[in-house]
Amino acid sequence: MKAFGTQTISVGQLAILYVSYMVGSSMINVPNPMVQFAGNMAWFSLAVSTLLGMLLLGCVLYLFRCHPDDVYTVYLKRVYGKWIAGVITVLFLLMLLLMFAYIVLDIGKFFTNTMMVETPMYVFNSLTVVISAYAVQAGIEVMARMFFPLMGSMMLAVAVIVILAIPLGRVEMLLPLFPEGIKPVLHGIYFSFGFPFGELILFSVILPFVEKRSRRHAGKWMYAMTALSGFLLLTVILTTELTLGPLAGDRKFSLYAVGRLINVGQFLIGLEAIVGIALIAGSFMKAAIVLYILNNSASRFFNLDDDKLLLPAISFTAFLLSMTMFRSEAEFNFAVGVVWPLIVMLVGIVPLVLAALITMVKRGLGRG
Amino acid sequence: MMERVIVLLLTGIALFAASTTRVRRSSPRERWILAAFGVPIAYLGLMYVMNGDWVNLHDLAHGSIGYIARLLVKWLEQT
Repeated sequence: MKAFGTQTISVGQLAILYVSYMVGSSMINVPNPMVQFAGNMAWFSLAVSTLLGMLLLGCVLYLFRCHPDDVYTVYLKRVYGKWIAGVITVLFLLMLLLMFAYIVLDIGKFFTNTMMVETPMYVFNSLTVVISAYAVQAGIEVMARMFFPLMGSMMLAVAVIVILAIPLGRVEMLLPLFPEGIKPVLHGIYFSFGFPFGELILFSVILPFVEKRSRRHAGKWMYAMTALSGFLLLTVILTTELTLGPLAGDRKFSLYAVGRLINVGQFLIGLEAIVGIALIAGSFMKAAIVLYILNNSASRFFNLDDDKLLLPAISFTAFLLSMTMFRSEAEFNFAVGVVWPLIVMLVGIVPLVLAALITMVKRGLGRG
Repeated sequence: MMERVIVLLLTGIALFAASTTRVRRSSPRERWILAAFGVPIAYLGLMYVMNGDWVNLHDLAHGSIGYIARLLVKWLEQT
Protein backbone atom coordinates (compact mmCIF):
# COMPACT_ATOMS: atom_id res chain seq x y z
CA MET A 1 0.00 0.00 0.00
CA LYS A 2 1.30 3.42 -0.94
CA ALA A 3 1.74 6.12 1.67
CA PHE A 4 -0.69 8.93 2.48
CA GLY A 5 -1.38 11.19 -0.49
CA THR A 6 0.78 9.37 -3.04
CA GLN A 7 -1.85 7.08 -4.54
CA THR A 8 -2.83 8.22 -8.00
CA ILE A 9 -5.60 7.44 -10.47
CA SER A 10 -5.78 7.94 -14.22
CA VAL A 11 -8.22 10.39 -15.72
CA GLY A 12 -10.33 7.45 -16.98
CA GLN A 13 -10.55 6.07 -13.45
CA LEU A 14 -11.55 9.54 -12.24
CA ALA A 15 -14.37 9.48 -14.78
CA ILE A 16 -15.57 6.07 -13.52
CA LEU A 17 -15.52 7.25 -9.91
CA TYR A 18 -17.27 10.47 -10.83
CA VAL A 19 -20.10 8.92 -12.81
CA SER A 20 -20.59 6.20 -10.16
CA TYR A 21 -20.81 8.93 -7.55
CA MET A 22 -23.20 11.12 -9.55
CA VAL A 23 -25.71 8.49 -10.66
CA GLY A 24 -25.04 5.82 -8.00
CA SER A 25 -27.81 6.47 -5.52
CA SER A 26 -29.61 9.18 -7.46
CA MET A 27 -30.97 6.75 -10.08
CA ILE A 28 -32.90 5.04 -7.33
CA ASN A 29 -33.91 8.14 -5.36
CA VAL A 30 -34.28 11.07 -7.74
CA PRO A 31 -37.17 10.10 -10.10
CA ASN A 32 -39.86 9.73 -7.43
CA PRO A 33 -39.41 13.07 -5.59
CA MET A 34 -38.69 14.91 -8.85
CA VAL A 35 -42.04 13.87 -10.32
CA GLN A 36 -43.68 14.61 -6.97
CA PHE A 37 -42.26 18.16 -6.91
CA ALA A 38 -42.16 19.17 -10.57
CA GLY A 39 -44.84 16.89 -12.05
CA ASN A 40 -44.72 16.66 -15.86
CA MET A 41 -41.84 19.13 -15.95
CA ALA A 42 -39.44 16.99 -13.87
CA TRP A 43 -37.29 16.43 -16.99
CA PHE A 44 -36.96 20.19 -17.49
CA SER A 45 -35.94 20.80 -13.86
CA LEU A 46 -33.30 18.12 -14.20
CA ALA A 47 -31.95 19.60 -17.44
CA VAL A 48 -31.61 23.02 -15.76
CA SER A 49 -29.89 21.43 -12.73
CA THR A 50 -27.43 19.70 -15.06
CA LEU A 51 -26.50 23.05 -16.59
CA LEU A 52 -26.13 24.60 -13.12
CA GLY A 53 -23.96 21.61 -12.21
CA MET A 54 -21.70 22.41 -15.18
CA LEU A 55 -21.28 26.00 -13.91
CA LEU A 56 -20.41 24.70 -10.45
CA LEU A 57 -17.94 22.27 -11.99
CA GLY A 58 -16.29 25.29 -13.63
CA CYS A 59 -15.60 26.71 -10.14
CA VAL A 60 -14.26 23.36 -8.90
CA LEU A 61 -11.91 23.05 -11.88
CA TYR A 62 -10.78 26.67 -11.61
CA LEU A 63 -9.74 26.12 -7.98
CA PHE A 64 -8.04 22.88 -8.99
CA ARG A 65 -6.05 24.72 -11.67
CA CYS A 66 -5.03 27.37 -9.11
CA HIS A 67 -4.13 24.85 -6.37
CA PRO A 68 -3.33 21.63 -8.28
CA ASP A 69 -1.67 19.73 -5.42
CA ASP A 70 -3.85 20.85 -2.52
CA VAL A 71 -7.03 19.13 -1.41
CA TYR A 72 -10.16 21.15 -0.75
CA THR A 73 -9.60 21.66 2.99
CA VAL A 74 -6.01 22.81 2.44
CA TYR A 75 -6.82 25.48 -0.12
CA LEU A 76 -9.75 26.66 2.00
CA LYS A 77 -7.10 27.47 4.63
CA ARG A 78 -5.10 29.44 2.05
CA VAL A 79 -8.13 31.39 0.88
CA TYR A 80 -10.01 32.06 4.14
CA GLY A 81 -7.27 31.77 6.76
CA LYS A 82 -6.92 29.20 9.53
CA TRP A 83 -9.96 29.95 11.72
CA ILE A 84 -12.68 30.54 9.12
CA ALA A 85 -11.41 27.56 7.13
CA GLY A 86 -11.50 25.49 10.34
CA VAL A 87 -15.18 26.29 10.90
CA ILE A 88 -16.03 25.58 7.25
CA THR A 89 -14.12 22.29 7.36
CA VAL A 90 -15.87 21.09 10.54
CA LEU A 91 -19.26 21.83 8.96
CA PHE A 92 -18.07 20.12 5.75
CA LEU A 93 -17.04 17.00 7.71
CA LEU A 94 -20.39 16.91 9.53
CA MET A 95 -22.18 17.23 6.19
CA LEU A 96 -20.18 14.30 4.82
CA LEU A 97 -20.93 12.21 7.91
CA LEU A 98 -24.63 12.94 7.51
CA MET A 99 -24.43 12.16 3.80
CA PHE A 100 -22.74 8.80 4.35
CA ALA A 101 -25.28 7.88 7.04
CA TYR A 102 -28.17 8.86 4.72
CA ILE A 103 -26.82 6.67 1.89
CA VAL A 104 -26.37 3.70 4.25
CA LEU A 105 -29.85 4.21 5.65
CA ASP A 106 -31.24 4.51 2.15
CA ILE A 107 -29.78 1.15 1.13
CA GLY A 108 -31.32 -0.42 4.25
CA LYS A 109 -34.67 1.21 3.54
CA PHE A 110 -34.61 0.08 -0.09
CA PHE A 111 -34.05 -3.56 0.93
CA THR A 112 -36.57 -3.57 3.78
CA ASN A 113 -39.23 -1.84 1.65
CA THR A 114 -38.89 -3.92 -1.49
CA MET A 115 -36.84 -7.09 -1.65
CA MET A 116 -36.25 -8.42 1.87
CA VAL A 117 -38.99 -6.96 4.00
CA GLU A 118 -38.60 -9.30 6.98
CA THR A 119 -34.85 -8.90 7.44
CA PRO A 120 -33.84 -6.36 10.10
CA MET A 121 -32.33 -3.16 8.72
CA TYR A 122 -29.16 -3.45 10.79
CA VAL A 123 -28.07 -6.40 8.63
CA PHE A 124 -27.94 -4.19 5.52
CA ASN A 125 -26.61 -1.10 7.27
CA SER A 126 -23.77 -2.91 9.02
CA LEU A 127 -22.78 -4.84 5.88
CA THR A 128 -22.78 -1.66 3.78
CA VAL A 129 -20.65 0.21 6.32
CA VAL A 130 -18.16 -2.65 6.80
CA ILE A 131 -17.75 -3.32 3.06
CA SER A 132 -17.40 0.41 2.30
CA ALA A 133 -14.77 0.73 5.05
CA TYR A 134 -12.76 -2.18 3.61
CA ALA A 135 -13.03 -0.67 0.10
CA VAL A 136 -11.68 2.63 1.41
CA GLN A 137 -8.96 0.77 3.30
CA ALA A 138 -7.84 -0.74 -0.02
CA GLY A 139 -7.33 2.74 -1.48
CA ILE A 140 -8.61 4.93 -4.28
CA GLU A 141 -6.86 2.99 -7.08
CA VAL A 142 -8.49 -0.28 -6.03
CA MET A 143 -11.87 1.41 -5.71
CA ALA A 144 -11.59 2.90 -9.19
CA ARG A 145 -10.68 -0.50 -10.68
CA MET A 146 -13.40 -2.33 -8.73
CA PHE A 147 -16.13 0.15 -9.68
CA PHE A 148 -15.64 -0.31 -13.42
CA PRO A 149 -17.44 -3.70 -13.65
CA LEU A 150 -19.97 -2.64 -11.01
CA MET A 151 -20.79 0.51 -12.96
CA GLY A 152 -20.94 -1.47 -16.22
CA SER A 153 -23.41 -3.98 -14.77
CA MET A 154 -25.52 -1.19 -13.32
CA MET A 155 -25.68 0.62 -16.67
CA LEU A 156 -26.53 -2.60 -18.46
CA ALA A 157 -29.39 -3.41 -16.09
CA VAL A 158 -30.81 0.10 -16.33
CA ALA A 159 -30.46 0.09 -20.14
CA VAL A 160 -32.33 -3.24 -20.34
CA ILE A 161 -35.18 -1.89 -18.18
CA VAL A 162 -35.41 1.35 -20.15
CA ILE A 163 -35.48 -0.48 -23.51
CA LEU A 164 -38.06 -3.02 -22.34
CA ALA A 165 -40.19 -0.25 -20.82
CA ILE A 166 -40.42 1.68 -24.13
CA PRO A 167 -43.55 -0.22 -25.34
CA LEU A 168 -45.27 0.60 -22.03
CA GLY A 169 -44.68 4.35 -22.37
CA ARG A 170 -47.29 6.92 -23.44
CA VAL A 171 -46.05 10.31 -24.65
CA GLU A 172 -49.26 12.09 -23.58
CA MET A 173 -48.15 11.52 -19.96
CA LEU A 174 -45.71 14.42 -20.42
CA LEU A 175 -48.49 16.87 -21.25
CA PRO A 176 -49.54 19.54 -20.41
CA LEU A 177 -46.34 21.56 -20.08
CA PHE A 178 -46.05 23.90 -17.07
CA PRO A 179 -49.52 22.92 -15.76
CA GLU A 180 -49.05 24.74 -12.45
CA GLY A 181 -46.68 27.51 -13.45
CA ILE A 182 -42.99 27.90 -12.73
CA LYS A 183 -42.85 27.17 -8.99
CA PRO A 184 -43.01 23.35 -9.23
CA VAL A 185 -40.17 23.53 -11.77
CA LEU A 186 -38.13 25.66 -9.34
CA HIS A 187 -38.90 23.13 -6.61
CA GLY A 188 -37.56 20.37 -8.85
CA ILE A 189 -34.43 22.42 -9.55
CA TYR A 190 -33.96 23.09 -5.81
CA PHE A 191 -34.07 19.36 -5.11
CA SER A 192 -32.03 18.05 -8.04
CA PHE A 193 -29.37 20.74 -7.81
CA GLY A 194 -28.84 19.83 -4.14
CA PHE A 195 -28.94 16.11 -4.90
CA PRO A 196 -26.91 15.05 -6.89
CA PHE A 197 -25.46 17.98 -8.90
CA GLY A 198 -24.45 20.23 -5.97
CA GLU A 199 -22.68 17.26 -4.41
CA LEU A 200 -20.09 17.29 -7.22
CA ILE A 201 -18.07 19.79 -5.16
CA LEU A 202 -16.85 16.82 -3.09
CA PHE A 203 -14.70 15.85 -6.05
CA SER A 204 -12.44 18.76 -5.13
CA VAL A 205 -10.99 16.26 -2.64
CA ILE A 206 -10.43 13.55 -5.28
CA LEU A 207 -8.97 15.72 -8.09
CA PRO A 208 -5.43 16.02 -6.61
CA PHE A 209 -5.15 12.21 -6.85
CA VAL A 210 -5.20 12.34 -10.67
CA GLU A 211 -1.80 11.58 -12.23
CA LYS A 212 0.08 14.75 -13.11
CA ARG A 213 0.59 13.82 -16.78
CA SER A 214 -3.14 13.39 -17.47
CA ARG A 215 -4.45 16.29 -15.38
CA ARG A 216 -5.00 18.61 -18.32
CA HIS A 217 -7.69 16.24 -19.62
CA ALA A 218 -9.50 16.03 -16.26
CA GLY A 219 -11.75 19.03 -16.98
CA LYS A 220 -12.95 17.68 -20.33
CA TRP A 221 -13.71 14.29 -18.80
CA MET A 222 -15.58 15.75 -15.87
CA TYR A 223 -17.74 17.97 -18.10
CA ALA A 224 -18.47 14.97 -20.31
CA MET A 225 -19.34 12.80 -17.30
CA THR A 226 -21.59 15.51 -15.83
CA ALA A 227 -23.45 15.62 -19.16
CA LEU A 228 -23.63 11.79 -19.17
CA SER A 229 -24.98 11.76 -15.60
CA GLY A 230 -27.60 14.34 -16.55
CA PHE A 231 -28.53 12.31 -19.63
CA LEU A 232 -28.84 9.06 -17.62
CA LEU A 233 -30.99 10.67 -14.95
CA LEU A 234 -33.10 12.35 -17.60
CA THR A 235 -33.63 8.98 -19.32
CA VAL A 236 -34.66 7.35 -16.06
CA ILE A 237 -37.05 10.20 -15.18
CA LEU A 238 -38.62 10.20 -18.64
CA THR A 239 -39.00 6.41 -18.53
CA THR A 240 -40.77 6.49 -15.16
CA GLU A 241 -42.97 9.43 -16.20
CA LEU A 242 -43.93 7.86 -19.52
CA THR A 243 -44.59 4.46 -17.96
CA LEU A 244 -46.18 5.30 -14.63
CA GLY A 245 -47.61 8.74 -15.39
CA PRO A 246 -48.67 10.75 -12.32
CA LEU A 247 -48.20 7.59 -10.21
CA ALA A 248 -44.41 8.01 -10.62
CA GLY A 249 -44.58 10.65 -7.90
CA ASP A 250 -46.29 8.30 -5.47
CA ARG A 251 -44.31 5.13 -6.09
CA LYS A 252 -41.16 5.03 -4.00
CA PHE A 253 -38.13 3.70 -5.95
CA SER A 254 -39.99 4.27 -9.23
CA LEU A 255 -37.42 2.56 -11.49
CA TYR A 256 -37.92 -0.59 -9.42
CA ALA A 257 -41.68 -0.16 -9.94
CA VAL A 258 -41.10 0.12 -13.71
CA GLY A 259 -39.11 -3.15 -13.59
CA ARG A 260 -42.15 -4.83 -12.02
CA LEU A 261 -44.37 -3.84 -14.93
CA ILE A 262 -42.18 -5.46 -17.57
CA ASN A 263 -43.62 -8.67 -18.92
CA VAL A 264 -42.29 -9.93 -22.23
CA GLY A 265 -44.21 -12.91 -23.66
CA GLN A 266 -45.15 -14.22 -20.20
CA PHE A 267 -41.62 -15.51 -19.68
CA LEU A 268 -39.42 -12.44 -19.14
CA ILE A 269 -40.81 -11.22 -15.82
CA GLY A 270 -39.46 -10.39 -12.37
CA LEU A 271 -36.78 -8.08 -13.76
CA GLU A 272 -37.13 -5.81 -10.75
CA ALA A 273 -34.69 -8.04 -8.85
CA ILE A 274 -31.94 -7.26 -11.38
CA VAL A 275 -32.75 -3.56 -11.16
CA GLY A 276 -32.66 -3.80 -7.37
CA ILE A 277 -29.21 -5.38 -7.35
CA ALA A 278 -27.89 -2.83 -9.86
CA LEU A 279 -29.30 0.08 -7.90
CA ILE A 280 -27.83 -1.22 -4.66
CA ALA A 281 -24.44 -1.54 -6.37
CA GLY A 282 -24.77 2.12 -7.39
CA SER A 283 -25.61 3.25 -3.87
CA PHE A 284 -22.74 1.20 -2.46
CA MET A 285 -20.27 2.87 -4.84
CA LYS A 286 -21.48 6.30 -3.79
CA ALA A 287 -21.28 5.32 -0.12
CA ALA A 288 -17.68 4.13 -0.53
CA ILE A 289 -16.61 7.31 -2.38
CA VAL A 290 -18.22 9.55 0.25
CA LEU A 291 -16.54 7.57 3.03
CA TYR A 292 -13.20 7.93 1.24
CA ILE A 293 -13.64 11.70 0.94
CA LEU A 294 -14.79 11.98 4.56
CA ASN A 295 -11.88 9.93 5.88
CA ASN A 296 -9.33 11.76 3.75
CA SER A 297 -10.64 15.21 4.70
CA ALA A 298 -10.77 14.31 8.41
CA SER A 299 -7.19 12.96 8.32
CA ARG A 300 -5.97 16.18 6.66
CA PHE A 301 -7.93 18.32 9.09
CA PHE A 302 -6.43 16.58 12.13
CA ASN A 303 -3.04 16.48 10.40
CA LEU A 304 -2.53 12.73 10.95
CA ASP A 305 0.44 10.71 9.70
CA ASP A 306 -1.74 7.67 9.00
CA ASP A 307 -4.72 8.48 6.81
CA LYS A 308 -6.58 5.26 7.69
CA LEU A 309 -6.39 5.57 11.47
CA LEU A 310 -9.78 7.25 11.87
CA LEU A 311 -11.56 5.12 9.26
CA PRO A 312 -13.09 2.52 11.65
CA ALA A 313 -14.21 5.21 14.13
CA ILE A 314 -15.81 7.32 11.39
CA SER A 315 -17.50 4.27 9.87
CA PHE A 316 -18.81 3.09 13.24
CA THR A 317 -20.19 6.55 14.04
CA ALA A 318 -21.96 6.64 10.66
CA PHE A 319 -23.40 3.15 11.25
CA LEU A 320 -24.78 4.27 14.61
CA LEU A 321 -26.18 7.43 13.05
CA SER A 322 -27.94 5.39 10.39
CA MET A 323 -29.51 3.21 13.08
CA THR A 324 -30.66 6.00 15.37
CA MET A 325 -31.57 8.97 13.17
CA PHE A 326 -35.14 8.60 12.02
CA ARG A 327 -38.24 7.25 13.68
CA SER A 328 -40.46 7.42 10.61
CA GLU A 329 -40.26 7.34 6.83
CA ALA A 330 -41.78 10.86 6.65
CA GLU A 331 -38.94 12.25 8.78
CA PHE A 332 -36.35 10.76 6.41
CA ASN A 333 -38.17 12.09 3.35
CA PHE A 334 -38.26 15.55 4.92
CA ALA A 335 -34.53 15.38 5.68
CA VAL A 336 -33.58 14.34 2.15
CA GLY A 337 -36.18 16.24 0.13
CA VAL A 338 -36.36 19.51 2.05
CA VAL A 339 -33.30 20.07 4.25
CA TRP A 340 -30.49 18.23 2.44
CA PRO A 341 -30.40 20.42 -0.73
CA LEU A 342 -30.03 23.55 1.41
CA ILE A 343 -27.30 21.92 3.53
CA VAL A 344 -25.35 21.14 0.34
CA MET A 345 -25.83 24.70 -0.92
CA LEU A 346 -24.87 26.47 2.32
CA VAL A 347 -22.13 24.19 3.61
CA GLY A 348 -20.71 22.92 0.31
CA ILE A 349 -21.43 25.26 -2.58
CA VAL A 350 -21.33 28.75 -1.01
CA PRO A 351 -17.81 28.41 0.54
CA LEU A 352 -16.48 26.89 -2.68
CA VAL A 353 -17.92 29.56 -4.99
CA LEU A 354 -16.73 32.31 -2.62
CA ALA A 355 -13.26 30.72 -2.55
CA ALA A 356 -13.21 30.71 -6.36
CA LEU A 357 -14.25 34.40 -6.48
CA ILE A 358 -11.67 35.42 -3.85
CA THR A 359 -8.94 33.51 -5.68
CA MET A 360 -9.96 35.15 -8.95
CA VAL A 361 -9.84 38.64 -7.42
CA LYS A 362 -6.49 37.93 -5.71
CA ARG A 363 -4.99 36.66 -8.94
CA GLY A 364 -6.41 39.67 -10.77
CA LEU A 365 -4.61 41.90 -8.28
CA GLY A 366 -1.45 39.83 -8.67
CA ARG A 367 -1.51 38.46 -5.10
CA GLY A 368 -2.74 34.94 -5.75
CA MET B 1 -31.71 -5.03 23.87
CA MET B 2 -29.35 -8.02 23.82
CA GLU B 3 -29.77 -8.25 20.04
CA ARG B 4 -28.69 -4.61 19.68
CA VAL B 5 -25.64 -5.11 21.89
CA ILE B 6 -24.57 -8.08 19.78
CA VAL B 7 -25.06 -6.06 16.57
CA LEU B 8 -22.88 -3.28 18.01
CA LEU B 9 -20.17 -5.71 19.10
CA LEU B 10 -20.04 -7.58 15.80
CA THR B 11 -19.99 -4.41 13.70
CA GLY B 12 -17.37 -2.87 15.96
CA ILE B 13 -15.16 -5.94 15.75
CA ALA B 14 -15.52 -6.13 11.96
CA LEU B 15 -14.49 -2.48 11.64
CA PHE B 16 -11.76 -2.17 14.25
CA ALA B 17 -10.13 -5.59 13.95
CA ALA B 18 -8.07 -4.64 10.90
CA SER B 19 -6.65 -1.51 12.46
CA THR B 20 -5.20 -2.72 15.76
CA THR B 21 -1.64 -2.52 14.40
CA ARG B 22 -2.30 1.00 13.13
CA VAL B 23 -3.38 2.09 16.60
CA ARG B 24 -0.29 0.50 18.14
CA ARG B 25 1.95 2.35 15.65
CA SER B 26 0.23 5.72 16.14
CA SER B 27 1.57 8.65 18.18
CA PRO B 28 0.00 9.69 21.53
CA ARG B 29 -1.57 12.74 19.82
CA GLU B 30 -3.23 10.51 17.21
CA ARG B 31 -4.46 8.18 19.93
CA TRP B 32 -6.10 11.14 21.71
CA ILE B 33 -7.86 12.16 18.51
CA LEU B 34 -9.05 8.58 18.02
CA ALA B 35 -10.20 8.43 21.65
CA ALA B 36 -12.24 11.62 21.11
CA PHE B 37 -14.39 9.68 18.66
CA GLY B 38 -15.36 7.53 21.64
CA VAL B 39 -17.68 10.31 22.84
CA PRO B 40 -20.11 10.33 19.87
CA ILE B 41 -19.78 6.55 19.58
CA ALA B 42 -20.69 6.06 23.25
CA TYR B 43 -23.62 8.50 22.99
CA LEU B 44 -25.03 7.03 19.79
CA GLY B 45 -24.30 3.46 20.96
CA LEU B 46 -26.25 4.03 24.17
CA MET B 47 -29.03 5.68 22.21
CA TYR B 48 -29.22 2.67 19.91
CA VAL B 49 -29.10 0.05 22.68
CA MET B 50 -31.67 1.91 24.84
CA ASN B 51 -33.79 2.66 21.74
CA GLY B 52 -33.84 6.28 22.92
CA ASP B 53 -35.20 9.26 21.04
CA TRP B 54 -32.43 11.69 21.97
CA VAL B 55 -30.93 14.64 20.11
CA ASN B 56 -29.09 13.51 16.99
CA LEU B 57 -26.93 15.09 14.27
CA HIS B 58 -29.83 15.57 11.86
CA ASP B 59 -31.81 17.34 14.62
CA LEU B 60 -29.06 19.96 14.78
CA ALA B 61 -29.28 20.43 11.00
CA HIS B 62 -33.08 20.58 11.08
CA GLY B 63 -33.08 23.00 14.00
CA SER B 64 -30.86 25.47 12.15
CA ILE B 65 -30.93 25.15 8.35
CA GLY B 66 -34.18 23.16 8.45
CA TYR B 67 -36.22 26.23 9.39
CA ILE B 68 -35.10 28.20 6.31
CA ALA B 69 -35.49 25.10 4.12
CA ARG B 70 -39.04 24.61 5.35
CA LEU B 71 -39.95 28.23 4.54
CA LEU B 72 -38.36 27.99 1.11
CA VAL B 73 -40.12 24.74 0.20
CA LYS B 74 -43.43 26.03 1.56
CA TRP B 75 -43.13 29.01 -0.77
CA LEU B 76 -42.24 26.78 -3.70
CA GLU B 77 -45.26 24.57 -3.01
CA GLN B 78 -47.71 27.50 -3.14
CA THR B 79 -49.23 27.58 -6.60
